[in-house]
Amino acid sequence: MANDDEDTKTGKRPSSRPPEGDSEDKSPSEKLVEAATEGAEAKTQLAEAKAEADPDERKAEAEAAAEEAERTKEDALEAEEAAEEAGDENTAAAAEMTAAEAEKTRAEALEAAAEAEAEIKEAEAEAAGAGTEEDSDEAADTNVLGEGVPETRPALFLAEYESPDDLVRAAETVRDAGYEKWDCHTPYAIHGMDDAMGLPPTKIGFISFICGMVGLASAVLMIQYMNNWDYPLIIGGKPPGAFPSMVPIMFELTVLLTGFGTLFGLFHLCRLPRHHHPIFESDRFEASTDDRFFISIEVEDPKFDLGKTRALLENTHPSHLELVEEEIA
Amino acid sequence: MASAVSEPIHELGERSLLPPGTTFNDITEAVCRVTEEKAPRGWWMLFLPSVALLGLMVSCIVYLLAQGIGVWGNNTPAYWAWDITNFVWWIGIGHAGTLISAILFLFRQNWRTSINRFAEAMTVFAVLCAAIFPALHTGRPWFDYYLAPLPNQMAIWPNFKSPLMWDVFAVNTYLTISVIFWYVGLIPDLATLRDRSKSLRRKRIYGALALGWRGSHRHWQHYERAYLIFAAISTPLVLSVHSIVSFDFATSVIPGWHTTIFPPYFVAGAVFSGFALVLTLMLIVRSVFKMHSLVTLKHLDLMNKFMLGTGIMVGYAYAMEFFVAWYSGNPYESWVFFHNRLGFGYLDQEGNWGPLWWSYYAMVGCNVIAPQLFWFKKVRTSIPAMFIITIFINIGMWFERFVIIVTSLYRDFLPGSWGGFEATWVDIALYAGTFGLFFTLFLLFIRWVPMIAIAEVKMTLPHAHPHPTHDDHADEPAAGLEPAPAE
Repeated sequence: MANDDEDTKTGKRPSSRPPEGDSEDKSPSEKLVEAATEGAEAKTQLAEAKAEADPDERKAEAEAAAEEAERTKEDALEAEEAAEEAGDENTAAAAEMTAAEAEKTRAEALEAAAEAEAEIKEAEAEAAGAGTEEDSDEAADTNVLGEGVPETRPALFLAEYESPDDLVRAAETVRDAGYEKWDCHTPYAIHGMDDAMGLPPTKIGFISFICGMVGLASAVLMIQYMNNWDYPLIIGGKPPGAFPSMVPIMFELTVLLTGFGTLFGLFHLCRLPRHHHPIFESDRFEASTDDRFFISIEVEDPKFDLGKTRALLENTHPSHLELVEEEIA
Repeated sequence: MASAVSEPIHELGERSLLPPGTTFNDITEAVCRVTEEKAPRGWWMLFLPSVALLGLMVSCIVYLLAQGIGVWGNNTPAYWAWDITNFVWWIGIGHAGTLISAILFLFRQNWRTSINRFAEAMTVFAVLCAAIFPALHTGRPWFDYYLAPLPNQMAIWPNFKSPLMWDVFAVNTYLTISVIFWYVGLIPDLATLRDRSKSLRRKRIYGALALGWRGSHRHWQHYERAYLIFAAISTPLVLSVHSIVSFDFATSVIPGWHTTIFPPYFVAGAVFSGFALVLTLMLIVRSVFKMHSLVTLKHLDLMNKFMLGTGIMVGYAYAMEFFVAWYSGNPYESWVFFHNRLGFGYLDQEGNWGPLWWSYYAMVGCNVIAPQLFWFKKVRTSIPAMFIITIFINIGMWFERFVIIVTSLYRDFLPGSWGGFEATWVDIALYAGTFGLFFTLFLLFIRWVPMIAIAEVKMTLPHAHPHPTHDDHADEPAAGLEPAPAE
C-alpha cells in the first residue's frame, strides 16, 4: 500500500488502482471517471498486445491487459455501489455500463492470451520434433551449429553409473584428464571419493574454529562487562570478575557459535541454498538421491569439448550418458 | 556419516546390520513410503489422543496464568516440586538423542544410523516440553525476557555466578544446536523426498527445505566434516547441559543436594531415561509403520545393553550417596537419606517413617532392579518384556528427580519449618499435557519427515563403498558387483 500511495502521488503509474483509504473520500462520479480512465488504458494495452509479433510477449501483454480490465470492472462496480448509496442514478447507470465494457475487454484479452499460448506450444512441439527424446543431446549439437531455434544451450554432460565402484573408476579417469568444473553426485558420501576426485581438504574446520573463538571471547567480554565493569556485583564474597563461575557460559557460547559457524560455513562452502541448477533439468538425475551415481562435467570447464568430453565419458562405461541443457535466460 | 565406517569383523562373528541383499532402493522405499502413503489407523489412534492432551496442556497453562502458580502444590518448604522434576526429567529424556547422534557417531557405532534421526527429533521435542516448566515457574512468564542478559530497571545486569543463569545458556544452546544438528542431517533425505515427490506442492515444500541439495561430492566432503564437528561439539555439550542442571542443586547448601557426585550421576541418569523413552517410542513406531527390516532385534538388543550399563551406573550413584551420607557423619545429610528417603534409618519425634519414603522405593525398584532383567538375552530380545521394562525406567527416572527435589526440601534442618507436599490436579494435568505436546510433534514428525536417516543407513550396506582390491564379503549381494552395462 505504501508503494501505491507514493506512485499515485508522483503520477508514475496513473492507471494503477488508487489506494483503498483514499477511495472512501471520493465522490461516486470521481470514482467513475477513474474507472473509465482505467478502462481506456486496458483497451489500449489490448490493442498493443494484438499488434505484437512475438507470441511470448503477446501473451504477457494480453494478460496484463486482462488484469487491467479486471481492475476497471472492480472499480466501476464500486463506483456503482457508491452512486446507488448516494441516490445518483445517472452515475450508477454509467458505472454499470463501464463495468460491462471492462468485462468484454477482459474476455477479449484472455482470448488473445490463450491464442498466443497455443502458438508458443506449437513452436515448442516443432523444436522437439527435430530429435526424439533419447537423442536430445544430438538436437543440442545442431543448436550449437546454429540450426533450429536456439532456446536452450548445453550446460553439462551427465553420466550415470550403477555402482560406487564404477563411479570411483570413472572419477579417476576424469580427474586424470585434467577437468576442473566437474562433480560426482551420490545418494550418500562414498569413501575414497576425495582422492578419486583429487579434492583438497575442506576448510570448514577453520571457519568453525574461528567462530568458536569469537564465542569464547564474547562470553568473557559479556560477563566481565556486565558483572565487573559496568555494574560490579559481589556475590557470595567472590570478586566481581572471578574466573571459575565464567567457565560454564564460556563453554556454552563457544559451542553455540561453533555450531552457527559450522552451519553457515557449510552453506557458504557448498553455495547452498541454490534451488536452480541446470542438472535438475535431467529427469534421470532424480535417482541420484536414491540408488544411482552420476558424474557431471560442466560446459564452463576450460577443457570442455562436446566431442572429446563425450568420448572420455563413454570410455568410462556409464549406463547412460546425456547432455543436459539449460534454458537461455 | 562416519568418514570411516567400519565393516563388520567377520572373524569376531559380526554381521551386517541389515539383511543381506538389501539394496539402496529398498531403504529409500521403506523410509519414504511412510510420508507418502496415507497414515495407518494406528497413527490416528495415537494422534487424536495426543492432540486432546495438548489441549489439556493449553487449558492448564491458561488457568495457571489466570490464577497464578498457587494452583500448583509447591509451597513452603517444598518450593520446587513437580515443575522442576518435570523439567529435569524432560531434559534428561532429550539427552539420549544427542548421545545416539553424537557420541555413538564418534565411537563409530554404525547401528545408530537406524535410530539417530528418531532420537534427535525426540531431543528437540523433549527440550521444548522441558522449557515450559521453568518458564511458568518464574510466576509471571511475560517477564521471562529478564532471563536474557539485559539490565533491570536498577541498571543491574544478571548475576553470572548463578547456576540458574548458566542453565538458561545451557538449555538454549542445547536446543539451538540440537535443531541445527537435526536439520543438517535431514538435508540429503529431504532431497530424496523432493526427488520422489509426485505433487507440485510436496516438491515445492521439500525442495525448499532441501536447499537445492544435489548430492555433489564436493558438498559431501564439507558436509561430512561439518557433521563430525557437530558431533564433536554436541558430545561435551550434552555432558555439560545435565551437569549444569545438576549445579542448580549441587551448588546449594541443602542436604541431599550439596554433593559432588551430581554431575556424572545426572548425566548417566539422563542417558538411561532417554534410551528408555527412545525404545518405548521405537517399539510402537516400528510396529505401526512396519519398520522391522530397518530396526532389527539386534538394534533393540544393543539399546537394552546400554540401559543395563547406565542403570548400573545410576544404582552405583544411589549407593555412593548413602555411603557418603553415613561416612561424612553429617547429621543433616544422614537425616535426609535415612529418614526422608529410606524411611526407617532415623525416625521423627513421633516415631514415624519419612512420609514420602515410598517414592524412594519406587525409584530403586524401577531404576535399579527392573533393568537387571536385561542380563538375560531372552529378556533383551523379547519385545513385550523390554517394552514393560522401559516404561518402568521412565517412571523410575521421574521418581528419581522427585526424590532428589522434594525429599530434600520438605524436612530439612529445623523441625519447626517442616512441611509436606501434595500434588494438585493442575500439577498432574500439566505434566500429562506436556505428553500431548511431545507426542503431537513427534507423530507429525514421523508422518512428514524421513524418520530414519536414509543416506546414513545406505552407507552401512556392504556394497556401499568401493572395494578396489578383492571381494571377501560373503554376504555381499551380487548385484553390487556386476560390471555396469555399457551405454
